[in-house]
Amino acid sequence: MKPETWLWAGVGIYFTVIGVTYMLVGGEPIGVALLLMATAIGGLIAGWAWEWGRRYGTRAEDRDDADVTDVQGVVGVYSTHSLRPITMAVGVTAIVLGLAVGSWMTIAGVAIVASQALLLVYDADT
Amino acid sequence: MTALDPDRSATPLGADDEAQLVSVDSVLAGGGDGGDGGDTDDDHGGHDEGLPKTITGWLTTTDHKALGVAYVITSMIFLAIGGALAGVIRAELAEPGEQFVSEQLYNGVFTIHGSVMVYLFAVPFGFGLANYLVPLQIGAPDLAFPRLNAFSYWLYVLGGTVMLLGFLADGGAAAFGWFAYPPLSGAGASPGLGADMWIVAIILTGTSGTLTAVNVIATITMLRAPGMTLFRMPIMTWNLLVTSFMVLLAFPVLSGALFMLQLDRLFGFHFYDPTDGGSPILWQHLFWFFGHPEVYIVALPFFGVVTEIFPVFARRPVFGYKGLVLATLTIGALSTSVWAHHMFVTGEVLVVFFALTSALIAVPTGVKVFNWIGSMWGGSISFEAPMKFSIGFLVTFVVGGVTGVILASPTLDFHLSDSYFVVAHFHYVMGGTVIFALFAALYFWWPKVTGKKLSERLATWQFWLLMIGFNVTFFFMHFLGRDGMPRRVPDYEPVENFELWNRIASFGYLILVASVVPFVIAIVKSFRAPRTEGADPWEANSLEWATSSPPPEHNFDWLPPIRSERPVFDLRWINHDDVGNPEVAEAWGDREGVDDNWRPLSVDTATTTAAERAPDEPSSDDDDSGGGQS
Repeated sequence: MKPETWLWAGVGIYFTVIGVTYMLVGGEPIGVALLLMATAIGGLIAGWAWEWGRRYGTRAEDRDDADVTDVQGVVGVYSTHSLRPITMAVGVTAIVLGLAVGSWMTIAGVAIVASQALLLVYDADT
Repeated sequence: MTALDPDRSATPLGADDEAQLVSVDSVLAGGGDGGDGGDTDDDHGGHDEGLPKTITGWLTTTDHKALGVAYVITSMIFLAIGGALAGVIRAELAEPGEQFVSEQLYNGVFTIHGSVMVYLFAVPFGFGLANYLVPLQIGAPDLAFPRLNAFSYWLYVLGGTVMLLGFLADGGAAAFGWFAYPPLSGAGASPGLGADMWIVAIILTGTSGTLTAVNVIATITMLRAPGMTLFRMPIMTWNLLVTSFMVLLAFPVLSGALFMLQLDRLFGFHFYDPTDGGSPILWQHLFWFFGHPEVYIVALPFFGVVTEIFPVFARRPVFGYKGLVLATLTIGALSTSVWAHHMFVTGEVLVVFFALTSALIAVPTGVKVFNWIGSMWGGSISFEAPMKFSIGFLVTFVVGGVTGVILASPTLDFHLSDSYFVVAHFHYVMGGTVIFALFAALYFWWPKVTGKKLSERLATWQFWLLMIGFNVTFFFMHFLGRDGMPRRVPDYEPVENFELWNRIASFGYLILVASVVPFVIAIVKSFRAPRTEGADPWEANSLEWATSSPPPEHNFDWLPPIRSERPVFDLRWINHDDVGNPEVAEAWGDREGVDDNWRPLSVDTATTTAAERAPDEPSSDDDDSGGGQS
């Protein structure tokens, strides 16, 4: 995870430098805020990557000399077909569009999202 | 690794000594799936090639390949819709005066044209490439969050549908341009549901993009195959990683700004209302903090496409791999620091700061162009369809880049802002870049997705029609803008050759439309043709060519050793100890008895080589094979 940590730390450092520079040369507060918030995104991911690397050490994908035979077991559990993504998307669309169309649509959207989120729990092994 | 690819002196898609080359197909045919990097403990419900067979299958799929194909098809449908709207614009402008549409409808047409092309076509096509290619290029069985991926896709489809349905709303579709400056986009100047639907649509598609970016970053971080270090990833994947970061940075800002705009419109808030302490300039800052990175969010995936293609058809390794990675990172960083050059004419921004950063971004972009040319320089270039379109991309992009430097100069920008010069520049950079590289990508990866190649003859027709049509349409707009024709007007006076340039542009549009015909015919022919292509029809470099065409469920039944950014090239040349990465032969030897597909690789040369030998024992005829090594 070291390269990933450095990559995202670099993002954070860049935006700190450019944000502070922009502030010092008289940039308006909107831009300064946006740039410094970008620092936080880089720092957040860099921090996560650093912590992950500290806990779990070097992975096969970080090693120059690793091969598929160096790892074993299941790579991951992947969902099968699921109806939930499309129904959730319909619900979210209804919620946001309801702001303009009418509260009935937002309420319907909330109901769809809530029910589908519940059903999503049972999706895990299907 | 050798500095030069020995293929450079070989036949276009082979080598002098083809018998010594190892084909992926022969290895894949070698046995079961031992040593598998892609084992998973379930399946995707019965479609053996990753693509669903039924409508229900498409509606419910969570497979990255199916969703990648769905993204591409959907974005192409939106391209057709955006292109048809462009036809309305060009028809209206072919003559001075009001021809076909009212001013209000014209405003709606150019707004939805721009919005469809930027939000619903160009960016999602890149997401389609990311969906299909990222797992394949890094040796992963899928994206990290398959359901989230499907959710993102459907948000995009529904968002796009909402935007287009705006035409049916009372008062018509949004008519304030694709960057929706208040107060024009406010409730006073743009009442009606159509404008609200536009805002909702962009919020939905922006959220979709943000979620996809999270998915891509998580996948690249956590699901690379063993040996696939960051600096062995294909440049395409690097570009998609940087694109995803930029999406993560830019899209939420846009969504936030749009929510604020919606609050202003619907609930009487005053974020952008100067009469009550708000500021329209706030919108411009927030929008362009998204809007300029957006240009590179659109472009970077296509930079990645051509970076994959140039080395394959020049039979050279990519020139300056790390330089290209650094240039991509630099573009990603700088592109988030130049946003206010779109606001020079407001007089409210630090002109010097943004002129400097805007000019600086030409440096990493220039590095990329230099490296693309370097990748071809001295190579054995062959002009199959992907290469033709990639070169078309390069030419078009350089023209657009040069006019970008002109616009980065505040003094020139003050004159050219909001003129047809900007329209021309914009279409060269985003239109030309995307369209040429898009077709390069489709021709290049079509055999991977379908197991069939598209017609080269039809591709040649399409390429020249597109090249001529594109330049006839957009080049003369530079003159229009220089002479003072403003953008976004349905009518103009017949002065300064305005009539002539507009007629030429409208004629060019017809050629552009004609250029689509050969492509459609090629696709129809392809569907009717038998599947004949193997895993690696172009003799390419990256990992997606190490699996069958189309790839199986979860992508890989087998993975080659990964010792460089060109694992398939290394495998192909493993019998040559002075070509490719020598560590591959060693890694191959270590697989004996572990990998079911393992065998002494000289088996591939059985027709011409008498003795079987271990891959790490150089053949006696290696010295005179694949000439031209250095």
